[in-house]
Amino acid sequence: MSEITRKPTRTGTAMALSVAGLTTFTLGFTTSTAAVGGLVATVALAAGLFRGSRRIVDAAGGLFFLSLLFAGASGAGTEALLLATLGSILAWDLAENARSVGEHLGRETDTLRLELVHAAATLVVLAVGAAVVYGADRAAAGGQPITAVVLLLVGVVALVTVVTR
Amino acid sequence: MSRGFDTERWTGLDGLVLVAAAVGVFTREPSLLLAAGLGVVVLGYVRVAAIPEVSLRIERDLSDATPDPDDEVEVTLRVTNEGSRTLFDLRIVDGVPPALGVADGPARLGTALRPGATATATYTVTAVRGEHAWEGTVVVVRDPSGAVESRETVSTETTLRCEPELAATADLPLRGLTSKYAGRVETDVPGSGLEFASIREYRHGDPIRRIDWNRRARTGELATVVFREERAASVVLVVDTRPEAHVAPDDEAETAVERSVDAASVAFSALLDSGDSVGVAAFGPDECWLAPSSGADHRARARRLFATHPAFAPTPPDGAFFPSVAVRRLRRRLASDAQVIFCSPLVDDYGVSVARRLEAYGHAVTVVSPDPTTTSTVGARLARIERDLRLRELRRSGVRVIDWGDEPLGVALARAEAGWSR
Repeated sequence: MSEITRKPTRTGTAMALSVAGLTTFTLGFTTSTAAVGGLVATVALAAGLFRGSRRIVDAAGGLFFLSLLFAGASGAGTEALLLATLGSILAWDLAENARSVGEHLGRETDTLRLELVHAAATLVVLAVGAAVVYGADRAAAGGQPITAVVLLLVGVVALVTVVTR
Repeated sequence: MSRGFDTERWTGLDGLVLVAAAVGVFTREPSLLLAAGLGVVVLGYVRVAAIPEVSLRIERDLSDATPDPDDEVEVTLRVTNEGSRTLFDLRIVDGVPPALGVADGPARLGTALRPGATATATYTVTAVRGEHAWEGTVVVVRDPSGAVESRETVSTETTLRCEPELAATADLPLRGLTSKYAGRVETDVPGSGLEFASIREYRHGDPIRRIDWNRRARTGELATVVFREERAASVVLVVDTRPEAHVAPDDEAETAVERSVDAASVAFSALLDSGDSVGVAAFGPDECWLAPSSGADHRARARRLFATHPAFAPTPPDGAFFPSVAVRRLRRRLASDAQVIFCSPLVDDYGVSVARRLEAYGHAVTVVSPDPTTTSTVGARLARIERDLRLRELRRSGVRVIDWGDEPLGVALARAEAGWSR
């Protein structure tokens, strides 16, 4: 009789951990503290996937966020930070999806296609988003920095309010 | 289909975005604002998440819909997306009947499905006796971001019917209670038969074949040899199917009810072969009664009954059960010359009292008791001792008891028979 192993899927775990590793590598181009933070977050993500715990996976996402915040506050380059943000979100999303698929279908089911499609969808959205944001930044680079920053902030707040209404 | 419910997967992201933006403003770092901008894009992606109209066709094929017991049956589940939109995240769990064990391959499917495309899941189940209907297939659909999820159950009717052949692998000796018809059971009634009983004085009309000619030659007197008359019995096989009888030594082993039904079907076939008329009854919440009879039709009826009657299902019943009413009803149905073979694990005192009551009413009772006890823990050993005491009590009150352990039924019968008096 075959039992169902309700653990995060191997495919998802592998993808999430690879992306987390790449993110840590990217954070290495900012500050060493952020890189260490990324490393800790990756380890936490691995632990969360091993235990199949949503809480630990979410905590790992929080650690990534703190690392990003620290890297950003200590003057990281725009490209590196944007790339690390993209990687952090993708790593967390893949890990959480692997956990959810594992809980629903178990490890024995072939879920490669399901998870690849999910990963591709998230990656496309993040890549397009990053390109748009980066492009806007390049286009506005010649303008007044303070005004642009304040306007951008107002725009962010307005968007968040509308979007999470 | 409903819009589905929020998985709360992305909850908290808006807060993180605002924190990142605020820190970016205070530290005057535009890169953090850009990171926050990327977060806003993700929020928008999550916000527009919706599940399209789901329209699936689910088909299930069995490699063999009427297998023999322990055969492996391959089940193919085909899911076709009949809607006009791609389903990015489709998770399907098939409703395998509870009594069937999945032997190989998960009865689950996870994929993305374009309109018109078909995904297939294949798994094998091991057939067990009974009629098994598949339950609804659970379909979980998520949008690509995973923010919204919807579940529904689609039912596709599939039935697997497994009817074992009735095989007489062991011969069950009966007790002396018989009907008036000729048969196999040796009685103490003197008459014609095979086994020598006694010699008595010749009476007018005795058949010439049975006159003891040796004695006539020796002493000149006429004497008649008397044999034990052989008659057919009317037997009712009563299977204990109460929830209490659904016990097994461990998770993988057959339950006592399964073994009881096996024993009853073996006995049924053996008794029918030897010319006795045999009936079947279940002592449990699900009513089941097949009056004693004989013949090929009767055999076919019993075969179907053992295989598919809900009373003999391998899973415990969940109806209300009033044992004393059931005993009274059983008694009314039993003809006065009917013997009873009671198949019960005897794990509680009520089974014993049923056997004793039937014996007291004059139905010669034989108990076939599959042993579900183990010696793994102190409690299990205690249960075994209690059951042994029940068997002993039954034997003392004149009931024949066959204690059936792990060995084949024939071995248990041979061992039990050695200790019986006629």
